[in-house]
Amino acid sequence: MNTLIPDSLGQLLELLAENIPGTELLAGGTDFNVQCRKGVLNPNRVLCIGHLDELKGIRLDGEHLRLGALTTFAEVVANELLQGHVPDFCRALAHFASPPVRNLATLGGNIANASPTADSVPPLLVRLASLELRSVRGVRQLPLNEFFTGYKRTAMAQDELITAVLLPVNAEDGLHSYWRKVGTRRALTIAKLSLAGMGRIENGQLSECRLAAGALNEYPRRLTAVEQHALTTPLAAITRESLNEALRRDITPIDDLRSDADYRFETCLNLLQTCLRDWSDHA
Amino acid sequence: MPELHRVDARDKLLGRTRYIDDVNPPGVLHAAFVVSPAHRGRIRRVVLPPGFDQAAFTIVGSGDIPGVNLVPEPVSDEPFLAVDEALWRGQPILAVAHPDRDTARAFARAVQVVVDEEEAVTDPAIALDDESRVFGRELLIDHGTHEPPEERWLHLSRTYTTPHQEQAYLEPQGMLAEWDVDARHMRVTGSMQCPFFVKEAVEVILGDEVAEVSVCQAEGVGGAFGGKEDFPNVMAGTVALLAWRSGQPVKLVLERDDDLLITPKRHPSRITIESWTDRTSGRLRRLDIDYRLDAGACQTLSPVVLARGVLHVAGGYSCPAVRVRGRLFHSDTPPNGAFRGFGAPQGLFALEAHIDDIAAELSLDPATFRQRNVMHAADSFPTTQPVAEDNLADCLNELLSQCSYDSLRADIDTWNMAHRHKLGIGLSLGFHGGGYTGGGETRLASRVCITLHPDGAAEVLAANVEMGQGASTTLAVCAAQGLGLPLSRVRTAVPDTARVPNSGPTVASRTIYIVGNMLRRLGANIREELGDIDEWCEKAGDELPRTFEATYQPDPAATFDEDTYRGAAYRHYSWAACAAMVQVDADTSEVRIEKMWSVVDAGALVHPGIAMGQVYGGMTQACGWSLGEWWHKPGHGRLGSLTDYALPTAVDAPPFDVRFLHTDSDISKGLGELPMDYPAPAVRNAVLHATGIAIDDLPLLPERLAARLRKDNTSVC
Repeated sequence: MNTLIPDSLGQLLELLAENIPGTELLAGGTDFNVQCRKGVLNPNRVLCIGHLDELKGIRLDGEHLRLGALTTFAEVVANELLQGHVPDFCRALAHFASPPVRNLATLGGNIANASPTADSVPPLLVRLASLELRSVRGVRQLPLNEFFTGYKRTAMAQDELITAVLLPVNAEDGLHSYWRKVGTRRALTIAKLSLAGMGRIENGQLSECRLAAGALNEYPRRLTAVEQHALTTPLAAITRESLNEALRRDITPIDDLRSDADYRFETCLNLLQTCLRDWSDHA
Repeated sequence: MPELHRVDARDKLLGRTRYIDDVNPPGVLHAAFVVSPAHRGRIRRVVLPPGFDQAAFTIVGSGDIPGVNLVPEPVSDEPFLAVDEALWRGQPILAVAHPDRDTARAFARAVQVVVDEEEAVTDPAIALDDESRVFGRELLIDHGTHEPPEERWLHLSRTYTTPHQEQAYLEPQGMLAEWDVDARHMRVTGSMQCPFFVKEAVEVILGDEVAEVSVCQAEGVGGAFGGKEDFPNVMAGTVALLAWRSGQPVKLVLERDDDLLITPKRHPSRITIESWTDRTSGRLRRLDIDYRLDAGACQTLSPVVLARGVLHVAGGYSCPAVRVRGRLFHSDTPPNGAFRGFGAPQGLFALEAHIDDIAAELSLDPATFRQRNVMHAADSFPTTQPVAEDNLADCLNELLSQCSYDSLRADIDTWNMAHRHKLGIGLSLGFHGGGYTGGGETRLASRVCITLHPDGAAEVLAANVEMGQGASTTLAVCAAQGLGLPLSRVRTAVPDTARVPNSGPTVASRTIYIVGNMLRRLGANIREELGDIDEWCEKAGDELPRTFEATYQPDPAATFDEDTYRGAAYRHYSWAACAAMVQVDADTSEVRIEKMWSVVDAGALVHPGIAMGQVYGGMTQACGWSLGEWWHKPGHGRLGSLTDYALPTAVDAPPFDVRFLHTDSDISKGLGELPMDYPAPAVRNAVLHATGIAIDDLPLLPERLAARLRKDNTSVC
């Protein structure tokens, strides 16, 4: 295994442009190192990026909050700018893993890893986050919603990397939010399922509704059928049965060692009901 | 007594303590196991991998063993290394050693083991339901059951099951062997609970090839919980074989996932309780209990676990007629072994759950039902042993006032009427017999020594290891109390079979109860013999160092018949009562333990801080066992790592409110295992109170609860 430590983002992009198969990026390493040790990942070449200042920092950039890809979970939780604009997002990430892991794990790594259980992704999806992707060919923005293409697969080209996560500065303004992760215990746990939501209620009906689930599909994604149903139906007319019917079109939960399909489906349905009821109660 | 520091704390906090992974003598070879990939079958062939310099490896299999290829255990039926048959997935077949650790591990992983796979049973539920799988001696306790039960009594029959539990010690298994070929002396150092067991294992595997074996505990042992009682015998036997073969020091430290795959766990259980209760008096009249343990592929020490299990499963209740049948069941899984509680937690889970089930049938409050039936002095155990004291009833009564039980239960019932997420409170009682079962302590005939040194220090010589539980402090405290010296003048030697007498294994809640009390008496005897110890030492001159020895004195009045299971199974019992308050989430069916109360009688406390730590730790382990820990999932196999093994974290552990009773006793009783024994059923009973759902199978997974809520068509919403 060849390990390289590029001096700069520019040099990193040059190395990526060599398109050598089996190249992996190492940032916080909280998942990568475990995978390597277990022999699940056997990279040819590892590019260390954790030291690159160009990938760090949280700042206001026009209409967006720009979070460098190396922003750690601990930094998100403690950042005053984010606490001011997206406090519920900060709170959602406060329960990720454990303090040592939060100090090392990066937002970019959590997203690029493309795990179905990535804890940061559902809250980012419902806040309409997008990603800044960079390569020697240039820079582009991609809605996070379009980033995942399958189990552990992304729309990122081999020569690209995530350089920043962009959150609309008004992502939480005037909106209700919801976040619940269900794991095997209260901390340091991989999600059996998770649900994130942002919504606005006007005249007894949702005028905005974004919902996203983790661990219920091959990658975290928006619950578009449920959203559509919720946006087109007065809250009073939304029933457990109608949510159930819509949810069936949105998720494909599985039986595995961690949990059961029935439990995942029903719990997700329960959480959706609670989410809508909480919003409605506080409308 | 002022709060005392632990003598081992500073070095451990500063990272100075050396664990076996830190010890690398010159020329050391690193070992790895080649294990069976199949659950069961005939081993056809073993193909060594190409691409390695095979001359650089030392490789041993069962054919290289000069002694006997059977691990010494109460039933020695487990080979150190598999012979022709693979008995479980993960069974060691070969051991390899190489100067580079990663190379040794990579080579071992690359060895191809071809097994003609046979049908295997790895699901405890299947194994425990199949009476053709019974092996080993069946145990029977039968007391007062000659009269048939009366028709008018409430008759209830239910079956309860519990899963595997992994000890999950912080430090995986590790062992080092150094061979002095001239002296034919094998020196073994490592992570273990029982140096003299390990010594015997090395003598057995090397036979006449070895003239002397000495075994020393590594300076640091990073937790054990029973998991380093039996398996270190296999570790030591293997590294000793490799060291003898190679002539070089050999060390084996298991990787976590291998440790999980290979080593013993807590026995899964299936316990059926049939009870008869007088509806009028609310008194238990008869218990018929079928107690089954999944032993795994070999018996090893399971018969001893079974013995403790049947002796605890009838619980701390007065019942005139009790019949307990105990049996081991074979499955194609690693031999299950020792784990804190040793058969008692399984039995007490079933019994204490059943107590709530009877109370529910009688529409009696579970506290009231317990108060009517709890053991008192003049009652007897199912073995006919008289109960000596009212201390369990004292624990129960103190507990009920400690948690304001009556008003709390009423408040919870009111709260639940107005809230979706339901609260519940549950109770349990427990007890644990100290030391070895039956005549075990008499046979062990433990010896301890105290040496007075010229510098005025007293040194405790005993074989009981410091594995994080505080023995190096508490044994010194016991000796200091007896000698009348300050703790600063007393130290505990690191157990080394070359230096210390055999005071028995560090198991069975016996370290303080047996060894500590022996040291206290020995210290007092020394003081009586010498008068003022300081004055005597000043005059003693050449007489120092002087060593004093004591041997365990059995109580001639306390005898136990191991054929009929009658008599005093244990000389002293520790007692406890527990309450757990839970919240059941209406959306997720997750159970959160909000608070736990416990009142414990372990007699006089040697060190209140360490005693409290034992209770917190044991209760936390019981919380994990009750809520989330399991190893095998039907249809999905076993967990291969700790990633999804839901050990409780600090935020999962509830606040504990623990009180000790009868601390003015003149004896210190066993405490190590007790706090693991009884809390789990309190959690189950609290969930029953919260939801009306009685879950009879641990763990109380939200998937299980949600399925029952669906089936029963009751909603906690």
